[in-house]
Amino acid sequence: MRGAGEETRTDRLLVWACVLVSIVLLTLSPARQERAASAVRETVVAPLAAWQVRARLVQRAVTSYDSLIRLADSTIRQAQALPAIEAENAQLRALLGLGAALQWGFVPAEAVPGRAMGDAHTVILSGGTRRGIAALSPVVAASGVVGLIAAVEETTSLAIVWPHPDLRVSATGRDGVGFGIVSARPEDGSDVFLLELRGVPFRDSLAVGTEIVSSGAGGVFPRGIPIGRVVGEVVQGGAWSRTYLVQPAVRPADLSAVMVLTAPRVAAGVDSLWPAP
Amino acid sequence: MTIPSRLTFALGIACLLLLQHTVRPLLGWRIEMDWQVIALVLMAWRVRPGLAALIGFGLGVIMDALVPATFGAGALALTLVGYAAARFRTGFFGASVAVGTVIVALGKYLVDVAVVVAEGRLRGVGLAAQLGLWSPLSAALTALVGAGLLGLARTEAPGPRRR
Repeated sequence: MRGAGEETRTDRLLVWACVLVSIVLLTLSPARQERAASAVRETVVAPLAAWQVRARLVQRAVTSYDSLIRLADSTIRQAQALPAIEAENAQLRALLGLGAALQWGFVPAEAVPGRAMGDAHTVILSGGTRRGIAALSPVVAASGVVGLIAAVEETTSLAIVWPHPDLRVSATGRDGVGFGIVSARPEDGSDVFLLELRGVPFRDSLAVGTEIVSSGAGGVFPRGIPIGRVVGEVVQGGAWSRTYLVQPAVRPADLSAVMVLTAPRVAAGVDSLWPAP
Repeated sequence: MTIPSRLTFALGIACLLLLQHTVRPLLGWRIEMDWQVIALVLMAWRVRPGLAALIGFGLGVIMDALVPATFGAGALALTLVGYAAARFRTGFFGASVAVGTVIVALGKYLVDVAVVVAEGRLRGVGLAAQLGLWSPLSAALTALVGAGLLGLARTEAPGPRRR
């Protein structure tokens, strides 16, 4: 009887068979090699292949961890620098500066622009009678006139803003020349939103670029709050007054935070809080 | 070998083959440990040369199935390694750890050469670096670990054939 370590003819046959089959496998065309490999992979090697794939994935995850973290950091950084957020930050910084200048007599509020049909000319403010907001209080931002409180509830209020047809502000040039009434320009199908300064005496001429501010007449808006800049004159034949097109200083749709001036503050005035640029 | 020792041995071999397909790709080192060659030499110490060659062939086919570009090369190399390990043990040296370690190192190097040549991907400096640096270092690392495992398994292996 032959022992476990003894080489027999069967052993030699097995060795040669294995060598021959290996050489045959090596000489197969790539397509046939792939078919044979695939057959092995899908049967006996399937669990091993799955482990190997999983191990490779884990190894790749470990080695790419640092680069993934860097990618996530840069993505977060880019998200923080989105223009809309930057604009909102700029608004808030400007509003903080305005608040510091006003010192008293104002109520800060968040503005939520109306999105539904017919709501385009109004904003809902996150403040109401509880915080001292009253009807017909002026709503302002760091860049100028926003609108007017139309209705007040306990915790919220509704403001009409440009281009609401009922919003009118007595206005004049920064230097006090050319009194008139600013209102929204009737829609003419144009995408450009402009205001109109009507009723300016014919003798007063305003140059393009002149800053228009509230005049204080009427007692609703105190004098000196920016409204916009003259971009041109509307030519009207036979009229006894001039009408100017004004680019508004504030686009209410872009606002997220505003201030509501209280009656005592309106009475005290805000002169020199919005200095000429 | 008693039944418990056979079971222990089988479990050890299974662990080595599991390491080959989990830990090795997980580490992803240039100097890679080949647990499969160690397992093959350990098995070859306990079986006849023909069966050792057949086991090597089977392991080689499994290895080649995962790298289809070299299909057959690994099988040929491991067939020869399995046969050589069993033949050296039966013919001349018995279950010598030193000889087993050399076979592990040469076997690992042979497998690398076969796979690299059959794959045909590396040329020039890359081929020289692989066969002159990385493969020998891989073979040395495999032999180092293999020596320890062969030493542990030596007591269970049968001796050389007495003439």
